[in-house]
Amino acid sequence: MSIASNSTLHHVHDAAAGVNAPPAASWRALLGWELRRIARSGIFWSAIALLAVAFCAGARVGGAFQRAQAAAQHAQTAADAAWQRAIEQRARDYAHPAAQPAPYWQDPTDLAGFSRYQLRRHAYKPVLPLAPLSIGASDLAPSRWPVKLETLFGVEPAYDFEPPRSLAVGRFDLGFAIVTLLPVVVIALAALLGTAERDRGMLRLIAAQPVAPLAWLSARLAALSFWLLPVVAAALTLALFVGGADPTAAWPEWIAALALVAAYALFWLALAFVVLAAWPGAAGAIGSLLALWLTLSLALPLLGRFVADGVQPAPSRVLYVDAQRRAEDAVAGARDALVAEAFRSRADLAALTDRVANLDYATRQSFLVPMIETRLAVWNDRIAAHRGSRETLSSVLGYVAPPLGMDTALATLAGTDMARQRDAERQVRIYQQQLRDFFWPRMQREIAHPAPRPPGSYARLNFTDYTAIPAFVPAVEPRRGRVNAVLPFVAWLVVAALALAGLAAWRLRRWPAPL
Amino acid sequence: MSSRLLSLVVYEWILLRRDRRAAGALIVLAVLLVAAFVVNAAALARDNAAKTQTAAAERARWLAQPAKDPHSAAHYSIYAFKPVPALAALDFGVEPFVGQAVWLEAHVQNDLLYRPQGDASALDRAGLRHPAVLLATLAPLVAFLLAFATAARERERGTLRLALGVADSPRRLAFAKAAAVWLALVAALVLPLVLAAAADRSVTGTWHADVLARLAAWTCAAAIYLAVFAVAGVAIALYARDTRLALIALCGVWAAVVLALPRFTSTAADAARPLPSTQSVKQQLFDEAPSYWSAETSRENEAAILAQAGVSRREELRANYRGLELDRAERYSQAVFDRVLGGFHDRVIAQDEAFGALAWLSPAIAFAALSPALAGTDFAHHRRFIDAAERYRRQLVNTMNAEVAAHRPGADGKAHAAGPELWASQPAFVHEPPRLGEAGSAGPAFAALTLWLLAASLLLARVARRLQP
Repeated sequence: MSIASNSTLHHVHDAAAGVNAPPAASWRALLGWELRRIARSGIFWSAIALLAVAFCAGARVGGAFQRAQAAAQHAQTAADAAWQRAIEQRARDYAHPAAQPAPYWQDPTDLAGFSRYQLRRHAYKPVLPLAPLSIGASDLAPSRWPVKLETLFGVEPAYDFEPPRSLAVGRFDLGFAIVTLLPVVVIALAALLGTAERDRGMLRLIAAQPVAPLAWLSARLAALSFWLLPVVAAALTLALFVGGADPTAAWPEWIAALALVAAYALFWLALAFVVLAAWPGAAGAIGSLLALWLTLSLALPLLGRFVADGVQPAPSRVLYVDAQRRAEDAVAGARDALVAEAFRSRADLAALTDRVANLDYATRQSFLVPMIETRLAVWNDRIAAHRGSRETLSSVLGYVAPPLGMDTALATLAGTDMARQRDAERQVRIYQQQLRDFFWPRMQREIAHPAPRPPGSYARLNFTDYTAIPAFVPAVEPRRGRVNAVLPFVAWLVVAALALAGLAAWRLRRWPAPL
Repeated sequence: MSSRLLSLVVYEWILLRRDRRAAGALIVLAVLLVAAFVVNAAALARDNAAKTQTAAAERARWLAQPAKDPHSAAHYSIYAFKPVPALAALDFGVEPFVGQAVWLEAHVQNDLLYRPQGDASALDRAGLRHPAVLLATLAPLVAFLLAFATAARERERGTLRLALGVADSPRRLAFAKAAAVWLALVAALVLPLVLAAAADRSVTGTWHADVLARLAAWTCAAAIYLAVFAVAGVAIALYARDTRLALIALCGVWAAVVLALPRFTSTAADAARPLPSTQSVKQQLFDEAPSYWSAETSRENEAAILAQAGVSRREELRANYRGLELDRAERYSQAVFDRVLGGFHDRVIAQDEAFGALAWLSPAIAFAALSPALAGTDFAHHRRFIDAAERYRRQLVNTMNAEVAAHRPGADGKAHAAGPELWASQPAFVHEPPRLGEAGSAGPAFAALTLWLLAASLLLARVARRLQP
């Protein structure tokens, strides 16, 4: 079935061929006729229905994924709380006389032993209300971190296992449906709509009428836009509800998402406008548009990664393991000398270097871990710099390759982007520092001024104030920050669409001679 | 192939070559595939070199340990690195998404860490294309483009009618067109890749029978995959009443079968056979086999050890109590790891099998399941590494604990210190990847791909029957 047909001409030319009719009115008449034609087009509604189903299915997948992450965070919080209660009970149970004291690593009332072997804390990246919009990086990057005092640079390299095959194939989420399937639908509809007369050999007849090529083609694509944008917006909103998102709880992001998707659709329509302005047949139009789509969505990111890897290869994590082992060995090999040096630099410990050899492992590590971090700081900085520069490049290239930029923008609105991930990791590090600041000075004070052990006590009882341990509190994230982050990209898409439309208009100054 | 059919194929081949748009797309894709292979192979070679270098350093560090408590040595232990599979440059499979290094320390079966894509930016992820995925995604589009050129466009120009008029069998003509498309695809896309892979293995000196078998099987799978789309493309193009309908059908089939269905099916397989959350798995391990057990557990251990030895006091034991307790705790935790982590990994593989079992939905699903299995980059192969590393860890830790148990503390109360002889008695970790057919099951996906080819051929035969001059 074709969207346009022979009957087009009578109506259109009745309106457009009026010699005295103002051009604007002609365009409006053309537009009105095209709007009615599209409203009756089976292909249009079939394509939109499929797209809406894909949106809803994708949102359900994304919603289920994000709910599972939130559930894991809640379960972890509950497990940590239960562990804390068990610890407190054990502390009470151990406070009794015994022939032998409890080993320090099993004693929850031993400050040093508790800090290393029994402290159980986690940090989280909260799931946001619009998370079903895009899984983004949240399937690779963890949203829940165990926080331990001795973890180098704060963030454990552990992660939540996701099926690797699923990661390799890719998930069918709403982000995929918008970034990948929406352009395919736009390309197919625009190409079929814009080439019907060309393929049927009627373009020559139309060109013989008093209608400008720009008015004729632009009215058709404008009509497609007028139908497409609202129904896509409606499909997106429906999908978000189906996916369990709460757009009302994140209405600025929701509005921004609607604007973003509309701008993205407009960009592809404008690109189609440029291609169709050369008056190709359907085969040529679809071939050219698919080639452009593949270039923007696949070839440019592929090329970008190849070049980026060649110019600035990622620091090898395998060699980082080697560096870490060397640093740990070097520090461990000179541990007593290093700790003694640290003692000498402190007024409260300078005279106590004879106690260095008898420090427990946890207390000794409170001196040594920062030294290992110092030795590995170059690596840590190098890795962070590489990640930063790669993410910057990704953002910049997103303006050249809109599917890439769209991917990032959707993830930003959903709160599943890498920038938010980095913020969360910074919070993990800050929280670790809070815990270190809580425990390590206390442990180190015990060297000079050990709390007296109750005579004959099974428990050490130099620490029982568990409620004083700092709790993790996620930083307040300004909602406007996410919206502001995507606005430049929305503006860029609109500007690009206008520029492309201008190019198409320039190409459509007159009917081509050979038709 | 009869000489008449052969001459028809050659004729169609010549016509295809004259279609600049179709030939251009084929050449661009061929260049892209080879470029992706070369770039990936170079990166993987660097990666493998780093792994080999660090593994050697780890071994040297292990051997150079000073005299120390053997259990401390079990904590120090080594890192094991997963070697890059021989055909990973052809198909990354799950490699970018699984850890590449694991610390084989006492008490705990650690996760493999440092996934190559673990820190991936959006660009890294969007640009993560390897030859197999490029072939699986784009080759069907090119196949359809060629089929469109050879069938639908000929119909539009009227040359198809002429050809049918002189052809003694429309079916032979239809299959000749499909064969010409298929040969063009295989010659331009598969053969250069296979030659590049063979050259890469030769240069790196890792060319052996299993690589040859895998490469042959992968070539076969890729050729069948392309044949499905060549035959189906010609059938659709010939069946459609006009070129616009042919275009709509070909684009729709490509978008649905190649773009959407593999993702959708993979996600559906995840939902149909859900995995427990990592949080719940870790919690179970923490509850059942914590790295640092409580004083209560210590008392239970002591009672059990004494009862087993038939004595009532530690001092009456003939072995070192600490070593016995470490050994008991270690073996208990190993059983928990087998049950919890082993069961978890079984479920991951079952999920992959569920995905492969849905290959009848799309040939792209069949190829997505088959290609990494043949390249040795699916999870079933990865699991072999996990298990091998864990076996090594257990052997190392059990040896160290046995050494502790065999030596009572000295009169000064100090623990026994072992030396270089013990470290050297532990062999180096070497992972032998499974041979083709030893890990996972490519059978269902291969069968599905073959059935897809059969179905496409039947469709083409049926379409050809109604062709008239």
